[in-house]
Amino acid sequence: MSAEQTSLQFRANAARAINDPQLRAALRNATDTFGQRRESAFATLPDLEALRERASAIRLEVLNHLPAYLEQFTANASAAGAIVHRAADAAAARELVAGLLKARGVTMVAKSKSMVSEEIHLNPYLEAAGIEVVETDLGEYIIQLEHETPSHIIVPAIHKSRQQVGRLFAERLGIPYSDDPQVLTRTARAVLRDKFLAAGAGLSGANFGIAASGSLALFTNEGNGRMVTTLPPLHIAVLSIEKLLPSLRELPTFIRLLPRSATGQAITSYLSLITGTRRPGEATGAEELHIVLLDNGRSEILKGACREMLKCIRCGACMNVCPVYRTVGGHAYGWTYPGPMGLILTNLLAGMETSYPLVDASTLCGACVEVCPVKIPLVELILELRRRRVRDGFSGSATDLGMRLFARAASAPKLFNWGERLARICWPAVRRIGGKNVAGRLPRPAAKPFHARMK
Amino acid sequence: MTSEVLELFIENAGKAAAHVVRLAKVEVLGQALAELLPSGAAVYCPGKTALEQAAVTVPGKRVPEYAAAEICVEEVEAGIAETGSLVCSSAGGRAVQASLLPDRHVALLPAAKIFATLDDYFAAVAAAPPANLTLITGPSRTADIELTLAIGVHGPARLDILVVGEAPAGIAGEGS
Repeated sequence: MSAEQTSLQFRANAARAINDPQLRAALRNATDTFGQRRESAFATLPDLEALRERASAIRLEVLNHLPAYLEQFTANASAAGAIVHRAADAAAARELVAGLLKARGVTMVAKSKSMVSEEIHLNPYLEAAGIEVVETDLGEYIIQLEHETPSHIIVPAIHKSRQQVGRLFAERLGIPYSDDPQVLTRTARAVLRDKFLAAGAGLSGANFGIAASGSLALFTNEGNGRMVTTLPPLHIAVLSIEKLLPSLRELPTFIRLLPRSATGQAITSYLSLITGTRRPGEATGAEELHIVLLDNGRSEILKGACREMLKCIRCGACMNVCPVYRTVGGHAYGWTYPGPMGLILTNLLAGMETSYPLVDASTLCGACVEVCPVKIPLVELILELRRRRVRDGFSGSATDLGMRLFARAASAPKLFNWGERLARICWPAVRRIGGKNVAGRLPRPAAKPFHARMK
Repeated sequence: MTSEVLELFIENAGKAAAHVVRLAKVEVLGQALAELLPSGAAVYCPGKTALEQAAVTVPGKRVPEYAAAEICVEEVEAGIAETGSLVCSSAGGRAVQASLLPDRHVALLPAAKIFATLDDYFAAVAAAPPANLTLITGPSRTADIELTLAIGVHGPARLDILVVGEAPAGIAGEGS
């Protein structure tokens, strides 16, 4: 899978995924497990509903006053020694990061997991500029070795079996084959430890920026996020502008919600709070910290009817419960973010023209809305995108004609009755000519319509 | 009331797969470490605080560099009962990454420094956080391969917490 967007081929991608039994087994195992862990993690937390309300309100407060919070964050991070940059789009962010690295003669960077860096295709750009990028999150490391993209925002290699990872490690790292996750994990530890110590810079994302203190908050389990942000002399963090919280006092609400929603943990193994650079006489942290605040279309989203999408805290709970994601997996969506949050973000960030088939990738069942920790009205947003698709002329002329005819018939009872009669009369012919392929996908007309029986 | 906080801390740290030992007083620390740690292992201990001074009788060979150590023994800044977390801070020139590189982290936590909730702790540090604050809950872990838990990815595979002393009469952080 390359970095090229393939959202327009969603149907073909999905069909290929459905015919891959290994993929479907991996998806079923992972999403079921995540669902159970999430449920038991929340079982011990009193009044989840009040917590979600509070989280939603905090995120909306930030969105409603985003320019002011960005200004506050920038001022406080700068006062603590960080250098804060604004990048209007993906190209600007890539150039900024590459420029910083090249100016300092950095040839290798250690990177912790960052979805926003996937969104702006940072790795290929840096590699083309002659800078080696080493992904250090185990899942990201696996897919980097395989030259793939993440298929889940929390567990990037969710689509791979332990046997596949075992073969990959044996082939690429020259170790004896093992499919024991503990053995594979310790292998990655040994290989990557040298990289951490040799890297000229660390590259990370951030789960939140804290406006009142200028801090970055990173939730991690493996410890690579801590390495990347404390060992190299230079740390560059890229985060999108909407990921701010007012102050550290609001952080506990999100500590309670994010890991539980994502992996079913009460808290991640590590939570790093980085406030500026290493101070004189101190022994922790980078000497130089650059924070890149990426817009990439978010200011526009903020003005529109889908602005609540920007409340998202990237937990992945919506994809774990989505019947479409659970069946086709993340690669079928053809861009950075999969599942319900992903299809909406893809549409808003990459544009309707590159992704309109994705708005069908939902049954509107609402399971995602029920688990969303910040109460994003995902189904309403998907319906809004479907309206936009029709408005912008991306629904196809056959569909448009069909819908217009149906609308006409549905608003005229006589016409509707004729239509029904016509369908009944034609049904045997449809079956004979179209065969199972056509007739099997159509509802069989009732011998006596429901409204006729109710008279 | 506060002994409940201490109990809760121990319960939650245990749930996160940390090994917790309770010591009534600092005088038994040396003995406890001697029982806990393999002799001959390379141990890093900053030796900066009174507790760390009491721990320097730790068996094995002391190494001055955490990057070369198998075990890090250090006093931590605070504990949080709600999640069973430790807090490491860069304040006072401490190297937070010393708790990360060795394969085993032995944290010395004064019972008086345990906060009840995340809110209590973050309210106390919100105004002026140091350059690095790290909450540590259990050992380094991943579930990136088939969601199967594996321990000791990049950080320690084992976390020991020695809670020293009795819980105070008031709430941690008050008056300090």
